[in-house]
Amino acid sequence: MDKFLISDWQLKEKRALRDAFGEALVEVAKKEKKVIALTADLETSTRLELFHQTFPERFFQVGVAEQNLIGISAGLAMQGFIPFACSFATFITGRAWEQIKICVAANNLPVKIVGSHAGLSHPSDGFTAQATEDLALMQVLPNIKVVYPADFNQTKILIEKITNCNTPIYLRITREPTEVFIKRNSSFTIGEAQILKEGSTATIVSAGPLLAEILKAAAALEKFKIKLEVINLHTIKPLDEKTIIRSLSKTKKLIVVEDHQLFGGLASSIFSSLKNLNFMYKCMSLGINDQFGATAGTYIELLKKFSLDSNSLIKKIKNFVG
Amino acid sequence: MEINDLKQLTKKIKLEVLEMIHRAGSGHLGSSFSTAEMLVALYFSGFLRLDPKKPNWDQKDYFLLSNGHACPTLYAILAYKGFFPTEDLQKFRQIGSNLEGHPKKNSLPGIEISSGSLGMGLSQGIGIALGLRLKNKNNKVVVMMSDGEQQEGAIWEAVMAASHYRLKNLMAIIDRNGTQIGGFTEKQLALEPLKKKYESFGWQVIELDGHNFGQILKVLNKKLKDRPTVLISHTIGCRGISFMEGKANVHHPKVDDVFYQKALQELEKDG
Repeated sequence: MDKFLISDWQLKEKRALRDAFGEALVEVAKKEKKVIALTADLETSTRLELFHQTFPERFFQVGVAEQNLIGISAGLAMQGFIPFACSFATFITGRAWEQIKICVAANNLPVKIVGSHAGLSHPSDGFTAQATEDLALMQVLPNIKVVYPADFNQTKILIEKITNCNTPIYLRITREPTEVFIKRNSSFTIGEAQILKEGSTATIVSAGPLLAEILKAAAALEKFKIKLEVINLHTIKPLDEKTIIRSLSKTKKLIVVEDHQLFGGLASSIFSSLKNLNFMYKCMSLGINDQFGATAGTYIELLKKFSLDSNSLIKKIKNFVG
Repeated sequence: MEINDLKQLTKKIKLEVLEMIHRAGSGHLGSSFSTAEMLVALYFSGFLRLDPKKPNWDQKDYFLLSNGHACPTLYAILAYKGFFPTEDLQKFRQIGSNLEGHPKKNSLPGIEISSGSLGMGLSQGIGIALGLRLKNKNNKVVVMMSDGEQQEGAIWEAVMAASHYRLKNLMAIIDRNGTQIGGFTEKQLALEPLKKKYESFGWQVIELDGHNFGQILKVLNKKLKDRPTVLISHTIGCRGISFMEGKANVHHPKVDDVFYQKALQELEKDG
């Protein structure tokens, strides 16, 4: 029945998106000789060791210098290469934002900006290492596509897709091992949202590993006859508002959940795209509400702090639909 | 081109640029005139290998204007070189024109990077040079920067990296006209000792008079070392306009009708 979901996913071993990225980049680079990897000191954190070992001449360590990382990547793209510029999401999108705007986005160069440790996925280092504003910074720029895979398997498929995409891309990935729930062989298209689970009570849209918490909540809410339609918005820009509107016309209730600031993230872009609808709908957005991240011992503790774990979601959704 | 021809061409280019900036009502005359001889030498002495009919030629050399505000002179040179019609020059800064207030890549043939926000050109030059090295090519990559631009932290990330990668086909040129928009560089935020700074980062540094074609050509013909080279080109903002030279506000003077007429007379007299 499930087109995209692994049936017994909750029993599978958790795996990190960044691990999938590191493995997939090597696989893609074997086929596509133009792929280059660069990092600002974070070779291990962004899982580029295998790439470095396999293709030493196609790997560039630029030191702790994100602005230079983006400038060099743009220059390499001008020479016909496909550079993957990798760092923590907060550093690369924040420190180098203007270089991304002018050198990459305005010139429409196929630089792949890879931001790891995004959202709340780097609990122990605290707010300076967490990225809860990166989507806002990237989706505001013309020409850039913004993608956020849901799990390990989707990350693997996505790397080849973005390599073949002749535009700038912001790839958001995470650090902590999280549930693997998307089927390895499931096909999808950049720009087309996936309906992971069908339902009629409310439409719930999210992206990234947080979808596992949502799927857990959705399963628990079935007992209360609450049937959620779960949409995986792996491509945040361009936004697939058609799929969301189609679902919303059925449910008339919309919940957006994100591990990002509500202002400037998924909720902002989704709600502002829902115009001229010929029906009324009720909506709720759950995410980080004008706050900075914080230190925590574990990822799940941090999710709880921001009420984004499955138990918190169950309570909020029950209140919302009830 | 010989030195006398280069001098004549510089005079023509400067008259064209004065006209462009006067007509547009804005534009950075200071750097447009301080960089004029150097830019003319790069494009017309045979130093840069270029074919205006093939702006994407894979054998071409690369010139990146990181100090984008000097673009009136670059635009005029590209037009005189044949990259686009000279008639387009007087559309500078007009709506619908490809001659943007600061250069935009892909808007005009011959423009390699978008610039205007300072401190970004050298990094892109490094990327191009690394890309060329990966393809076993040794085309030259020349990046011009302003002196005020040296205050940007990102410049020093790039200066460090160029030396680390031993990019011998990379040349930087600093237009050392001593002024920035707020006044004299040494008063705003001192750059000196600039030569020592670059030397300590592992670069070959050559200082020269950036208005002297004899010196410029001699330096450009020097054999490159096994590391990046920077030319500190000592120049004067609004060079050739006596009533502006040496002034703190030389960076972006208002070229009104009175200014224009006075400057025109001086330039036509001795260039």
